[in-house]
This record gives sequence, C-alpha cells and structure tokens, in this order.
Amino acid sequence: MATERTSDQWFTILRTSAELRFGSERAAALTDELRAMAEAVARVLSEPLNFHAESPVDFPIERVDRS
Amino acid sequence: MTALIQLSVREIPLRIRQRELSATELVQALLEWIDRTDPTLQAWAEIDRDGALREAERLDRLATRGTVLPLHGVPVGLKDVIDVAGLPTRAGFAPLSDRPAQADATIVARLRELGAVVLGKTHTTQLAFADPAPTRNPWNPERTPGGSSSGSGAAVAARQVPLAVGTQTAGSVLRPAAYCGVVGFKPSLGWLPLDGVIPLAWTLDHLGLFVRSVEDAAYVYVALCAHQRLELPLLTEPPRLLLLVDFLELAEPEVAEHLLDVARRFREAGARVEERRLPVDVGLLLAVHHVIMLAEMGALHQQMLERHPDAYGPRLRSAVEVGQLIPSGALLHARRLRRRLGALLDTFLAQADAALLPTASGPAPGRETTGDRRFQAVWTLLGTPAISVPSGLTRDGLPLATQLVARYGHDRHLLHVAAWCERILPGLPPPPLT
Repeated sequence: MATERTSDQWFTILRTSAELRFGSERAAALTDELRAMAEAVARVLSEPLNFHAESPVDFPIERVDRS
Repeated sequence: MTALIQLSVREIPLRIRQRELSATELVQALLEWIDRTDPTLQAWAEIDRDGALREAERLDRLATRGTVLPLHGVPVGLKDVIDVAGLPTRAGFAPLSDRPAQADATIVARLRELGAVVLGKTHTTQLAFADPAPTRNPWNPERTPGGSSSGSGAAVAARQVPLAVGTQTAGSVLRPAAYCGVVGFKPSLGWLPLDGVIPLAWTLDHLGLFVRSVEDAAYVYVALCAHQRLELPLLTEPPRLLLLVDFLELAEPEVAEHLLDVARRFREAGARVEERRLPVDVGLLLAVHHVIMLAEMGALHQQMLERHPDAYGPRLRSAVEVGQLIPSGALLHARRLRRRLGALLDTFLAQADAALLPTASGPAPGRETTGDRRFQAVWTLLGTPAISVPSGLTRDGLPLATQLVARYGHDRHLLHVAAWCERILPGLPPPPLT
C-alpha cells in the first residue's frame, strides 16, 4: 500500500516534469510509460541501501571488457 | 540447393576442407534462397552480394592452398546496428546517414579473421528498441519474429544463413530466437566486444548469436573467444537444474505446461531438477532494469531527440522522453541494487549447473508488438549467460523454447548443459515459410 501511494506520488512528479519539458500534449501521450516508470521508481526506492553490510565502493556489474 | 541451405556452421569448414563444398557455391545458393524467400520474410536490410561473392572466392583460393579457417566460408548476417565497413548502419532510423561505415565493428573483424563471409545486414527494430521491424515470423507471417534482432532470428530460422549476430539490452536475442525456433545465445556481459555497435543502454547492451543448434553456438563462441583462458568445469554427469517457479506462474498456461513436460523429460534422462523460487522478487529485478535502461536511453538520445523528434518511432520516443525525466537518485539507487541483486543471484545460481525457465511468457504474438521481455531482461540486468533452445510447438504450430541460465562467466559450462538438454528435446522441423 505504501509503495502504491509512493507510486502515485512519483507519477505526479513525472507527469508534471513531462508537461514542463515536453508540453501537455506529449505528457498526455506518455501517460502509460510515466505510470510504468513511477511504479518502477517506487519499487526501486522501497529497497533500503545498506552501506554497512555492502561495500561503499561500487564495482558495478557493468561491461567488463574481456574481449 | 536444399541440402546446402540446411548446412550447420560446423559442417561448412569441414566440407570445404574435404573439398566437398566451395564457399562460393554456398554463398550463391544462399543468395538464391534469399531472393526467393525474402520478399515475404523481409529479414534483410541490406545484402552485400558482390562483397560476399568476392570474399567467398578469396576463401576458396585460400582453401586450395591448404588453409581452412575455423569459420571458413560460413555466411553470417549482422543486425543493422553493427558496423560493417563499406555498408551503411541504418538501424531503422532515418537520420542515420547512408554513408558507409569506415571500419568493421570488432566482432565483424573477428568473424572475418575466422573466415566468415558477411552476407549483409539484418533488420532491427528502430535503434534496437521496440517499434516493430518489417520482418515476418517464418512460422506464421502474421506473428512477430520478436525483437529487436528480428531479421537475425528470422533469417537463421528460414535457412537464409546459418549464423547471425544480434544485440540484447532487454530480451532482443533470446526472444526472437524463441519465437523463430532457433538457438539464441547471449554470453556474459562484456564477453563479446561492442565496439562499432550502436548502443541502446550501454551498461546493459550485449552481443548474441543465432544458430540452429547448441553445438553451433558452442563452436562459434569458442572460436570467437579462443584467446580467453577460462577455467570452467565440464559436464561429467546429467546436470542439476533449478526450475524457476516464479516464471512458471507468470507464463501462459500452455507455456508453463510445456516447461513442466520439458523438466519431466530431463528428470527421466537423469537430471536433478528442483523447483525453486528466486531469492528476490522478479518485479524488483524488472524495476531495476527498467530504470537503468530508460535512464541510459534518455541520456544517449538527448541531442538526437531534440534534432529529430519526428524520426522516432512511438515506443522509442516515449521511452527516451520518460528516461530523461528519471531522478538521478533513482538511477543511482537502481545501480546499487543491481550490484546487490547480482551477488544474491550468483549465490543462488551456484547451487546448480543452470536455472531452467521458459524463454518467453508465451509463443510469438501479433506483429503490432515484439513480445514480452520480462523473462529475458532479468538475466540481461545481471549480465549472466543465457541460452534459448527450441523445445516444441504449440497446438497452433508456433515454436516454444526453454531457457537455461548460468552464473556470470560460466558460459562454456552453460553450453555443455544446453547441449545435454538439447539431446533430450525434440528437434523442430524447418518452418513452413521455407
């Protein structure tokens, strides 16, 4: 429920940003994508970071060029 | 000609070595077959007829002098986001120049060094995202071949070429392979070089291979990575597999039923198949992938979108615009989580030889979409090697596929496991379009 409420808040933030950046017509066209991103952002931010148990140094799983 | 178009990657250099085949006659046969089938299939964006024949003749002269390379005379199709010197890289995006690429992408140069013959460029969805390409599915022209490597998957399935290369940022190699009934192999992140490939989301982009057997996937992969020293265990007994219940619950009923049948076959052949749940929620993995992918797409296309907004397909434009709105805190958070989730899943995958799940949630849907990326995107996020093996047909005659996933860096072991699994599975006949 908390994530759902946060998702609604993120949707409002993203939609407002879209209106300011791309105009209201484009913002309306983006509604489904904005909703999906709001849910994703809320889901991601619901997981606390833990710098005690996990190294503060990032070694992200990114491209390790072994070619 | 029928026999020539059916040749596997591995057979081609063998037959050339034994003087039973010339690279030129094979290229000519495939070009003729493409001429007959591609008006319907539309797998190819550009065919380099003269260049391919010239290279085949050169390779034939080399073979006459006794030199036969590991991929000698093997025709290859390259997704049209990969640079080939002398050919344009259009990526289905009009603003990209028709000017030919000045140099080969590293993967293309390596394929050429190994003796492969570049036949041309295969269709991609626009810039490797989700606006459908013109390509049809060779099993049913009203269905999508999947995307974004649409032409690569369809061309290999339709016997137009025995090997094609694609890219995957969410599910763009494994999904078209599954929908088209061929083997798709996505090696670990970073193990095939991306220089000279148009990026979509640079920390997620992978190269991958389309072939018609696991044996061919292994053969090409080992040839491409021969210089790597990999200390990986070989398979000495039937594998231990983790059947991922999370994905069975997300799959369409016919797909879930099929995978349970596949698991039963594996058990009967001696494999240990254990039903397990992932240690993390699939929804979280997909959310992390979505945030990172769209944020990187937004950054990458910042200037291009301002200059050419109307050139973008609707799905790509929406994704890029939304990507530009993602707060930096959310992206940084997602990147930290990616690291944590990668470690958790690595420990999970270390319990067995491979994880087992459907490659896609359902068979190929209609052409208005390129399909559901959820079952492949999880492994793209984590950079783990994944392979799709054809495993049956639906009641409507569309391909179904089984996906196997191993720990990061355990690519060769995964290929051994997949080869074992492939021996248990029924092979598919050629698609009706051929």
